[in-house]
Amino acid sequence: MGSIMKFEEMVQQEKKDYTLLFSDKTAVLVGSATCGNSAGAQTAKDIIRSELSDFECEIIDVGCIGLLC
Amino acid sequence: MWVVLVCYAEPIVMVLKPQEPSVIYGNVTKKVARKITRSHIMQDTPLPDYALGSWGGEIEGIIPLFEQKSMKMQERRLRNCGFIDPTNIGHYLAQGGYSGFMRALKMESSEIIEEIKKSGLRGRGGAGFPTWMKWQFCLDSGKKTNYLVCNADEGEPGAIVNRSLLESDPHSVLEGILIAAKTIRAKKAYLYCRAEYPLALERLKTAIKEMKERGFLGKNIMGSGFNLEILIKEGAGAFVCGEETALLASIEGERGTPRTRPPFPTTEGLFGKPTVINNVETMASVTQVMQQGAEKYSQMGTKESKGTKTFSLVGQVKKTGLIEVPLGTTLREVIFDIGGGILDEGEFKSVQIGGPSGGCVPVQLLDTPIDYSSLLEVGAMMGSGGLVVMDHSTCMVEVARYFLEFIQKESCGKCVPCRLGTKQMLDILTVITVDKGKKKDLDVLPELAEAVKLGSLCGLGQSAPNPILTTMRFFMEEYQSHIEDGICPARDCKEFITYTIDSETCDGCMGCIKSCPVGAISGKKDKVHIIDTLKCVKCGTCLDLCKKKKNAVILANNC
Repeated sequence: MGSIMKFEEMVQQEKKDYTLLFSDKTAVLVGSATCGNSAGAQTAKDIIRSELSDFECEIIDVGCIGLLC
Repeated sequence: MWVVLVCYAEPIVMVLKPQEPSVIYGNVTKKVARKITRSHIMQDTPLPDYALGSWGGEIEGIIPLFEQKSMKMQERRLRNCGFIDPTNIGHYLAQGGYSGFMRALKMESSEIIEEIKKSGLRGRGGAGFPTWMKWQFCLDSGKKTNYLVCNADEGEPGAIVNRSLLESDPHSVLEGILIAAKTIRAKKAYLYCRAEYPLALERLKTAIKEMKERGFLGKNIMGSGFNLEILIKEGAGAFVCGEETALLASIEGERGTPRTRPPFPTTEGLFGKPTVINNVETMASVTQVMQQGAEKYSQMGTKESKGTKTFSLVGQVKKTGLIEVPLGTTLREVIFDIGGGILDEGEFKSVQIGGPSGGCVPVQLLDTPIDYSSLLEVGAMMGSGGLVVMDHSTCMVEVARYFLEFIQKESCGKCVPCRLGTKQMLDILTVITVDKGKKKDLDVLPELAEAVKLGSLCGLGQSAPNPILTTMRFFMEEYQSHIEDGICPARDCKEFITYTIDSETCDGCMGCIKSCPVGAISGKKDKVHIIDTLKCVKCGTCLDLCKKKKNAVILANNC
């Protein structure tokens, strides 16, 4: 029972943190799996970071966003 | 040759602003990255010209992502991919991660197996063996020590399914490993991943470290009394190590060669103990079944092939990249509705499915549903997820030769029929593609193919002739043209073709002269140029260059 409580508390806290991450400031997700990196994702990320300087923004490396859209 | 291993829109960046719809941008070059930052991120003005779609609302000029035809047809086990930080377990937990394992902790092994059975899940590594049955066989062996092995040895040319999943959502695979290990009462699990996947390995190692810190791995996991250790074994990249008994030998430190079965690994596997081997996608599917329930999972797919399957769609198709579709979706829907059709408005010729051991499906079978039995009926197989699309400019004899060359190099050499048979078949195909084929080759090839199929121990040898058999079945006229007429209908085989310059069209721009790598083209400014056919290496550089200008370079068959 204790472990389930611990897990549920853990999940609640993470959900709260995840929601907060995107609810009060701009976030940029960069597709940084091997395909993205080989196409220049890290360069794009560096440019976005250098352009922003004082602008409050979270830049997060995520995996493959390669949706065939 | 025609395998492009990046999603067509990479690099991709997603901008999320509080209380606003998010926008996904594609082909983010340096210039575009600057524009996105200055316009959208800093001034709240999205850029429809560079957007692939919006998400969470509508923005003028940008089509919502999930209203696009290509996305509507997809179902995503990759749902977390691109939306969470794969190096942060907290993101995974926030998306419902590890809830499937927590559910499994409260269940008996028999109950978990029943749930997986109800879901209809079949192994995603290629053969499609029912996952629950493997687990049951292992339990039925009644031994004290069992092992679980996750096969991440993805070796098909063009396939990036496992790599993307491991790099983008490693915890979904690791959660599946926890569930499977708990079910078969394994205390040790191995994840066999090729060393050529450094980023996947790095993210896996980070994920395992995080699991230990949060109590999901080690002794007395989440206070349940269940213990598990996950060890990563890096493979050296041999294709044959994707075969389960070769993989086990490799983990044991032996040379990666297959062995006879029975005994099957579920009764006598790793270090002689009962072992379940499931692939990466199967493990992620187990997670999905346990998180969402078998009933929901089994609603997707066909009667005999439940759930979804991920493919890497590559080749001569407009949109290359990863897709995930419910089983039963047809090849036509995948290539034309999701992939956007053939590149440069070309004509579809064939799709190679199932990797080097798979088969080439022709245009008349484009409405074949992607499920285990339908693909076998047309001589192909599911494989681990490579879908290579070919257009009219592809020679099917050369395709068979290319895949057979791969298989021949990767043959471990243990079985004589595979070792020598693939070499003989490759030699014959090579001879045909260099205009030296004989009529009797068309009788010898199927005979050899049958002998290799029957006489090989493992799946690699047994399926090695598939590219030959399917191309001979559906494209026999191309073989005959090569041998009898000395013509390569696709004008793809170099020995059959000649490059010339049309004197009526050439305006003497000197572009081809400058681009020719061997100096085979001569001529003066504003005068018609000439190709020296003895010097020409038939690289096609002049043809590609002139296509965009005057289209004066002509590619023709020698006859």
